[in-house]
Amino acid sequence: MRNCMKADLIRVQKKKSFILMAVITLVILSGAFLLAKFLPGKGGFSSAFSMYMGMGTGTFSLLMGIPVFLAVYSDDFKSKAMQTAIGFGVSRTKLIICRFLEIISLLIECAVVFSVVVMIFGLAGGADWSAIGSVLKSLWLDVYTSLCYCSIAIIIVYIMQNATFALVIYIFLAAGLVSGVLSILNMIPFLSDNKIDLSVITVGYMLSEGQKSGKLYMMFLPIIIYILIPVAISSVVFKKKELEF
Amino acid sequence: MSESVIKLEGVVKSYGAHKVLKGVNMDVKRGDIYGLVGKNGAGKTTMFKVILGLSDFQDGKLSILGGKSEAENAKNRHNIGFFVGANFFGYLSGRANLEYYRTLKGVKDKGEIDRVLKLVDLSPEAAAKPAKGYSLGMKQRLGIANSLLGNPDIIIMDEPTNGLDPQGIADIRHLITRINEEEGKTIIVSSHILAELENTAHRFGLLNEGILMQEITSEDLRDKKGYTSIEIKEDDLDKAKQVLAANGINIERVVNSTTSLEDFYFNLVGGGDNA
Repeated sequence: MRNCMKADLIRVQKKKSFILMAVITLVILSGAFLLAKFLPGKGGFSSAFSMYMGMGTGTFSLLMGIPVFLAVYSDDFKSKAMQTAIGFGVSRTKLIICRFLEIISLLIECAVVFSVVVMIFGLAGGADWSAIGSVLKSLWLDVYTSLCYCSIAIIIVYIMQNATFALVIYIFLAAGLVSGVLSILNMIPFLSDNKIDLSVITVGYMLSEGQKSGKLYMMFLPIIIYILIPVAISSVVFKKKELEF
Repeated sequence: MSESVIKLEGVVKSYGAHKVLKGVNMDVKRGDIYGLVGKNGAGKTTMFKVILGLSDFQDGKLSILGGKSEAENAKNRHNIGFFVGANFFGYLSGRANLEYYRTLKGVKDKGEIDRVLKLVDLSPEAAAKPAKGYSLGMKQRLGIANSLLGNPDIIIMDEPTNGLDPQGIADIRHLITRINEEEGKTIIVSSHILAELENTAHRFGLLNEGILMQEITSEDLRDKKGYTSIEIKEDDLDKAKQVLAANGINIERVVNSTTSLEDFYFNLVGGGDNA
């Protein structure tokens, strides 16, 4: 399993589209820094830094999540590397876990690089620590939600043995479309009359409620609901799947 | 008697109501080149997928290197190299692809890549190019090189000469013989072109519509005398016809030929030129 992960992580680092998207995200962060520096507004640099950088890091789940998802899952099926690993005797469950750990590693790797960039920009521009802290917090919450969305999307990957449909699901989730749909559904009279809020099932709600109320378990709930359960479902649906060569 | 390295007993594989493998028995001995022959759709690839754990089966037994359970078979699959189709990352070079699989298979020796590239006659310059630009022949060679990584005891090749020109076919055939003789590998190779395997394999499994109808050794095949051919000079052809009619044939040479694998197969399952 370790070899499987190692081989794949080295491979992804050589993928041009992955590197390109990381560079684009860095350019966006640089742009956000320049905006905060030269157009700080009335609140001063720290406030502008927090706002513009927050917007920049808010693109993480789309700009980095998509290439990471494609690099791991799409390439895996296209190249038949998964079939080769299974034919070599790697168990399917281990392979599913291995690929998800790769997603975690790659997203964290990117987030660490961006965190360093945010800190350098913040300190160079003279932002206060609370402004830098708020940007970092939003970045890492975005990493967390990206992981949850990836985990949901991989069920589709393993059912259909195709990453394209799964990617569409991931984009729907990461772009907030599902949250939007739930908000609209909340307006249905029966739900609103009975004060039923469907958005409680979203990762964003759990995390923000956890933060507001100080209930730490709310912060960890998505791990169970959105990571462990989907990985377990993927493992079950993939167990007997016929793999094509 | 040689040890069985892969054994299938009564393996049944169905897709819904459609049975693809109907109780297949197969016994591959160590050191053999086992030729699995059958028409397109006979079930050759499905058999390979069953052996490699890529396809589940409903009934029967599978044993890889003496494995008695699926867990043991899975462990023993580490000792199988296979080429069932192109399995490459197009944006990586041939060498980088082999590097990927070397790491995946946990092969520590970095010189292993040069060893397998040399074995399949793929030059370092060719190996440095992105795999997406490879010709079919180069892809086949790279695939076979991948199957050899880590020096596994058993190599499985599914239609390795598919789509190749005559020279490419001859090269692959020569390569298979060389890997078997020089490296001592057990090789299972499939083809729907029977003549292609006839002079390469030691044992043949004749698969038709999901049934392994017979396993036969190349010696047994040679012993099956089929017909006697009479060769005459080409110039004598017209004359021969006349002479045949007059019972005065000029026979230059008489050759006793063995039954070809192709004839034997079609006699067994029907079809061929006479179908």
